[in-house]
Amino acid sequence: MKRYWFSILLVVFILGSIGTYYVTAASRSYPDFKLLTVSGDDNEAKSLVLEGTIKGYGSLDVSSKGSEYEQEESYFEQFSISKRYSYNQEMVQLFKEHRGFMRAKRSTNSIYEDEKTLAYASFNSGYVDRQSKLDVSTLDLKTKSEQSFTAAVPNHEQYNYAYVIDVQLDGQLLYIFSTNYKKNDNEERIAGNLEIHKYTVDLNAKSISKDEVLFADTKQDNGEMVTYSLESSMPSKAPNDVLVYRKQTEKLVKDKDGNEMTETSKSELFTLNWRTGQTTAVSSFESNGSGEWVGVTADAIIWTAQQGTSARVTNYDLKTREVKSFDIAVPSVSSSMVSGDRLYVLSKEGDSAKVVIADLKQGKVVYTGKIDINEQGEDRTKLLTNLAIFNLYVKK
Amino acid sequence: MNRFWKLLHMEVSRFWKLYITLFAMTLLMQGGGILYVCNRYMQTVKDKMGPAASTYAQYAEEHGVVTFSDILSEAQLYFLAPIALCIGGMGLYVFLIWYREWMGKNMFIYRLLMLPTERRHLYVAKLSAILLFVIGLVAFQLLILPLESALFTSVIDQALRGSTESVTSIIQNHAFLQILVPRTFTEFVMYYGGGALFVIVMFTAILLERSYRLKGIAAGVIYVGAAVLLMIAPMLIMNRDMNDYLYPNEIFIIELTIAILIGMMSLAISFFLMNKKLSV
Repeated sequence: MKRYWFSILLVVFILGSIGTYYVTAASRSYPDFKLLTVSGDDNEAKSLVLEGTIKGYGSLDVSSKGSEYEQEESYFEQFSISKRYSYNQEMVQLFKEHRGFMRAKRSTNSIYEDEKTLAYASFNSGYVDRQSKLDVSTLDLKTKSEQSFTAAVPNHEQYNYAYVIDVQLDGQLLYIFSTNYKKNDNEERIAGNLEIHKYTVDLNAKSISKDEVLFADTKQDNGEMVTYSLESSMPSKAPNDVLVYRKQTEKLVKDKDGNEMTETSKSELFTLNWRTGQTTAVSSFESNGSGEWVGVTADAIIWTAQQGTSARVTNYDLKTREVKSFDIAVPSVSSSMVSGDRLYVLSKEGDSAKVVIADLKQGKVVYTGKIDINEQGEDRTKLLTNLAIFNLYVKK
Repeated sequence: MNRFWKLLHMEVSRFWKLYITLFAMTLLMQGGGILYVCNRYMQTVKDKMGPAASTYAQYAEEHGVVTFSDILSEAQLYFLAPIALCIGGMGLYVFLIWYREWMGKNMFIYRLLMLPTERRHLYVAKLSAILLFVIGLVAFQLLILPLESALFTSVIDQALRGSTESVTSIIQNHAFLQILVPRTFTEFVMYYGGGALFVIVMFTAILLERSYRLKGIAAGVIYVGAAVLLMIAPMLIMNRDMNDYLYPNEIFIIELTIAILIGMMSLAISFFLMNKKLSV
């Protein structure tokens, strides 16, 4: 045996060193943040997940059950599509229900679903020469029959790039709302080259039958630029007659170092009924910098505005055009999200992280909670201060 | 089986002097580099503080603290150069472990092929030796990292140091170390299993060359190319920008299956060549 000491030592050394490392790594403990109820119904926050990161430990999900760290995940979990898309439960649901149809379909904005049909439309992206095509697929939810085709895009040579913002269906006509970037030779600012298109796809003829430019960036005589952007709604697959868009007036100004930057002088919100073409201004919307945009749902526009120690939530009904507002007691709004008829707001200031859930229909707060950790003194303050939350979602 | 262990020990004992040299070089270059950068840092701190009687604590408050990870990225050249040399050395030895048998006047392969044991034992011993050497180097890096961290602690004043980092967080926050020592043990097995597959494919090419000489070189190159092509075939067939036609778990299973098939085929070809075609 004596002759073999070096080989034996090498093997023992490897097992010892690598083994110790992985045993230590596996037994590492992570700070256990938790969402605690302060007032209201516990069940409201049961499926709420707060995604964030903390210095030294990487990304984590905080919920009322505790914290789950990405570093604690097993190797195989990264191959789960529902784990990868956890921030977008709408997609996770579709991957589960229509695994075959959802192959190669990863963009939320490109999806439309009603009781009868699931549709998907997107531009080939990545290469200029392949952008000239629009891929369309539909799935009949009753007969399970799938149809897919590629349609040529009219005047594609005028555009560099295009992406789909929303898809709507009416009988055998599929409407695709997209943002197109016009080609420009003189390296001009991209913002001046945007167009919002409405493509009508005839599903029987398998081609684009109509291409309308709804809005195009325009340069005014006084040097100001008017730009348009379409807001995507949540859930984006839902049938919706009314789309919401923003009209911004921008000016090129030079900062003190002589760098050019844009300054928004006016920001207005409009609704567009794509069936009738009727546009209406959302006059109650004022963007004054202190407010935060929450989003558009199938029947409302929601935004918040900070007013001292509370935030005013405004709910603009898209059908009745009725404006309802109510206050929630938070010092600031760091993140917000709408799911169903609930508004979720996170307010993070220093070491305090407050979560408020409000019922948008009734216009009142139904839950108040805070993120806490089972530590004391300086450690507690440090951990809570270092925790950064960047997204909220409701796990289905 | 006993024969295999003896052959493996033989491979280890033929390489151990060079191997210890790699260990020593890594230790000296990394340790020296970290010591140098730490001292340079302390010198900068002293220069900046000047003759004024301020304390390190005051300096840290104004300029911030330093962590071992900061020093590691500062001493990157000294830290990564020996690792690169070890990787290069092991890459070269994948070839040398075979070709050294044919070197010299009294070719050692004569005696090896005459051994009263199955020839594949010879192959498996060489393969195991390479893997053992590579993983041994990783184990050595894991051993000396805490020592290097202690070096940092002894040179940099307590008041200037940031919060202590665990070995795990030093490795997982380092762009290159987290590849050498992945986060979970499963990944470790996957990564080094992939490395073993690469060695197996290279061994097949070497044996092709040894069996058919000039024609064998061409066959070897084609074989390696075919293996690479097979590995990336799923991506090529899908021909999509995002490789999103298949779901991630499907891609993983397909790639794993292809890898296992390539490994088994390479082993089969290698054993066949060793038994029937390999000559002196």
